[in-house]
Amino acid sequence: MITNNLRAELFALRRRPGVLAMAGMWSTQVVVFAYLVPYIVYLTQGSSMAPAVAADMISGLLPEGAHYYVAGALPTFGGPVMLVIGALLATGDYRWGTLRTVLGRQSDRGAFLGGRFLGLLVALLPVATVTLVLGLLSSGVIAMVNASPARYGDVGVIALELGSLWLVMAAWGAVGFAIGMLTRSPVAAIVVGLLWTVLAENALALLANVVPGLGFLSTLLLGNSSNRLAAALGSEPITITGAFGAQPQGTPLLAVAVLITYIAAAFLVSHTALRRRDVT
Amino acid sequence: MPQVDMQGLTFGYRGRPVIEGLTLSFGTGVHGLLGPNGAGKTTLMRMLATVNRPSSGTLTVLGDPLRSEHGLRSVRRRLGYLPQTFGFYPRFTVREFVEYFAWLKEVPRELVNSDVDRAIERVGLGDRADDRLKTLSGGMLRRVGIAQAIVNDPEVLLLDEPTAGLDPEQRMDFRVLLRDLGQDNCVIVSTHLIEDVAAACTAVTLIDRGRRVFQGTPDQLIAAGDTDVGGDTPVERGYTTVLRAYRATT
Repeated sequence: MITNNLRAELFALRRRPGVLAMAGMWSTQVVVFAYLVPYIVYLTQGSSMAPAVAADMISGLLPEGAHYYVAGALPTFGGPVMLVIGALLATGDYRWGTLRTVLGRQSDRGAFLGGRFLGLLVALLPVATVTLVLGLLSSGVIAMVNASPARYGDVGVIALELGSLWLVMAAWGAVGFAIGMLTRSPVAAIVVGLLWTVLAENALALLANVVPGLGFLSTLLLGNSSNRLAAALGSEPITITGAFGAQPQGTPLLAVAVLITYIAAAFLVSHTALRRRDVT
Repeated sequence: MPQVDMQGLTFGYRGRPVIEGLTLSFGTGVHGLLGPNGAGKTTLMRMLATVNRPSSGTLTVLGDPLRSEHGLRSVRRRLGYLPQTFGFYPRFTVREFVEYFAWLKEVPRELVNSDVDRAIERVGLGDRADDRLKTLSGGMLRRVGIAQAIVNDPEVLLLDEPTAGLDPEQRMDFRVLLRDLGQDNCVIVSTHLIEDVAAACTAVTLIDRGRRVFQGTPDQLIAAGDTDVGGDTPVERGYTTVLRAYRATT
């Protein structure tokens, strides 16, 4: 039953321009802001940097750093994009007034929501793959331009990065989906989601750092867990201003568990909202 | 055995009764559901579509009492429903929209394409199948709504104001479609357009303030008409006479 629902949602995704536009925007971000701009900075400012800093910078941009570099950019730059994708997917039926029609066609409302939620998770797999491929290609081009050797990590490491990228994207997307289901408005969901993940999470992380006994709080945050997973692959946290770039807390395994918990909790919240409020 | 059977059905919004102790049954054929604004027609349709659950009474659809989750799922698979307010995805084409609902309705994979094409042809939109929904008129959108409701050949088809927005020629075509659908299935049509009922329905049910006023054939409704009550057509006179007589007694 859920297979049909999943098929329906994947079919419908082709006609969701907002979702496709966000995925395209993220792909552009990867090429432009993760590779092109830093490489231009390296070319123009590298000689004035400390040698160790310049070496670190270029090693991330070359194929040898491709297995961790994009993962490092994901929590700060890609996470909010995935959150928006989740919110758009969840709120489409409220926006177009199609929920009643759709639910009237459903034999099982849980399967409907499950299909849509699963559709989001499945759809993020090609997004993660494209992200990784763009990273590998961009680093290859930089190696060529820079006349550096193109030494990629082995397949296992790259597969691990793909899995990590997908898990982080899925967790952020799922949170966006749940907020979308709660607010029923794409704009409200995006505003609430971004306020939470960008401001509230960082305020809580700051609190956890300064108040004794609250250190564990950091390990439960979406941003921290995403950064921790990226760090496990070898990345330093990549931030907008540097202010949010504190070293992530916890172990990689805990980070994976936290991210999976976010996904499961997001589904439960969405399901409860639909059952209690939107259907009888 | 009737496809739809309700005994003492009751439903209310925030303490205000909308359906009060309704006892009705519908079998194979086209059933017109008539009533003035606020009579409870849409609420009744929503209960039949399992969107709203009755406060009390029993509702049995296709032999399944709609109490358990299993019963609801079983019935929903065999229902078709066009709500009064019909939302749509503007960027979808007609074919994509109907196909999306075919998947949701668990139509077997190998039948999806043929069933979608057939549903679109039946509502006369074969030549617009690849047009985006945002480019269609209100009447065409209504027909798309009907196509999504019939794509899985439902045994019980619920159409809430299906002819709203259709032009006279489209309404005539729609009546032909209704008669066709009603040959083997139970079709319940809620409408204000009583000419459609007289022309296409095999049975008529008139409700007012959530109670049954009349159930019979269109000819019986027409026969009940009193020329003194006004109305331009025999069925209008029948409708008005029966309704006023009922109100006079309550």
